[in-house]
Amino acid sequence: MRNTLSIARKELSVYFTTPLPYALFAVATVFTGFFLVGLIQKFQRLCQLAGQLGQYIDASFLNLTDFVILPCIQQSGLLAAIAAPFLSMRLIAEEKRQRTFELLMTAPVRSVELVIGKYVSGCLILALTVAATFIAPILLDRFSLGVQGSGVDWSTVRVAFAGLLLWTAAAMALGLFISALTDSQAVAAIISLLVFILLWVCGWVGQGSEGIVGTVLGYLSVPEHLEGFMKGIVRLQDVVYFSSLVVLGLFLSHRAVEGQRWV
Amino acid sequence: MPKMIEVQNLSKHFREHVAVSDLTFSLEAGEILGFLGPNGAGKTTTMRMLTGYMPPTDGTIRVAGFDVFEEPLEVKRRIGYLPELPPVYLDMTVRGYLEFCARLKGLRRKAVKSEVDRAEEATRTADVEERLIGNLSKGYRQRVGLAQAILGSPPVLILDEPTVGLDPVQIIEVRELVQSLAKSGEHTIILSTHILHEVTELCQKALVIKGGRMVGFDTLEGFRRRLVDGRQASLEEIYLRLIEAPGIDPLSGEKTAAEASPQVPPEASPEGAEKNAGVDSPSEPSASP
Repeated sequence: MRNTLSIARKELSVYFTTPLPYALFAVATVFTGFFLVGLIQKFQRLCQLAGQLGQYIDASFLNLTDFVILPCIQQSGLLAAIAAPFLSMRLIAEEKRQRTFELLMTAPVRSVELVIGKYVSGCLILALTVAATFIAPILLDRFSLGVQGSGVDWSTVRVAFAGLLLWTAAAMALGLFISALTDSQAVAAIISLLVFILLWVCGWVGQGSEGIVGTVLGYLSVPEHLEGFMKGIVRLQDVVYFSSLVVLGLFLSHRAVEGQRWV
Repeated sequence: MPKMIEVQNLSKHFREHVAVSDLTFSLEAGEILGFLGPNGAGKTTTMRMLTGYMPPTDGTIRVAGFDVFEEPLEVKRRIGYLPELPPVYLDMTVRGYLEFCARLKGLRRKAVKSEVDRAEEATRTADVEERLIGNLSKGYRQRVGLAQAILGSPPVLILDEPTVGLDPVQIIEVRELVQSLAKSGEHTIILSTHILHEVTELCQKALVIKGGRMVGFDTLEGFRRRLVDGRQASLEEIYLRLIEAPGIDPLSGEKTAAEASPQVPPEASPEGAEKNAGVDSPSEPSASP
């Protein structure tokens, strides 16, 4: 436990002495800003349209949470898929390249402590990166205070955000494993990016295919499993999906680190 | 005195390549061993196995009575290791790095500060403690690596070419440091190097390997008595004799060691030599396929 904390602490200090997390935070905030502005403009147009057609349709389904905040959080999931490789790539690959892996493997530390320490620190930075998205509900909450109270449905937003965090946790575990397989950060980043994007888009292919292939691809698809969270519903199958990815990633990372001894 | 390091029939194969073959030796607490051999002879591989970084293909290693394979954590707690390239994080400050290493070695929070201070003082790195390691010269990085190894005063120190790539002043400094560690008598040290007079100055014993096989393990006196009829030959001469032994049969070198062992001083491990003699024949087939 102490070793895990020491390793996590060192990882965090190394992260923050490199410009990488700051660059990611900047990218995340800028993207969120663009999306937010775009979504608000779209929402505005919808509201105007609904106003003109007021007598024909019921405009009560138009609300900030469903039309602005949740899409914003959803896009943040893709942002996480793109940011995660940059954070996970160095975790173990860099140790091998710098020869510091020898230090860790000859210190009285268990591989599992090493893996968890690395994982926790990576998760923390990635969570901070996607937390930039949280500007959306906070801003809108401040500006949408009306007669009916806040325009933000916080309970839904919280669940959506929890779903997003689950996805970042899963991505980091898989990224850690891929980083443990190579001593090149670039290779680790490219392969992780490939895996995350595939996990993100395989559902689209799945929708087009028939039979078992379509079903399996659908099950593997990340957006499919985020969908429930984005509606404010916690479904057991989604929680199981993401936690299985975390467990699988950590287990494989541990195996890969242990396997270094057996070359 | 109990044996601090016991290595028996140690072998390491990388697929077809035999890196270390049938190495047997032992060291008592407080002994300093010079580990010699040409490049690629298997020195680094042997050290990596001693520290638990790599598992041996065959054979056993015991450090302070603990088997490296069975109880790796107990062994790792007792070893300070400086690999060939100092294992430093370029993005960390010297102080931050040493504190991290001290915590990894399981030192208590209060002990961390005093140990880091002590190691910095011993390796004269205190004046750069706030600088990033990436901005330090090679000599300083080496010293930081050495500081890392002596944190927590481990009973066993394994130093893989600690003076390689340093300038003459730095070499002398590192040598003095190792000398002071040796004099304290708290450490059993295995030192690999190509600078032979370093071994003459620092070490009580020398182990020479070639092509993964031991060609000599003795005190300098023992070597002299055996190889040059007691003449005051330099270690260079002895080393060349061992390495370039005519016939290049390392086993014959080992046999000489076994024959000569009864005459060597009591602490110069007749036991180690006996083991060599004992394993001579079974080792032969293992190397041939």
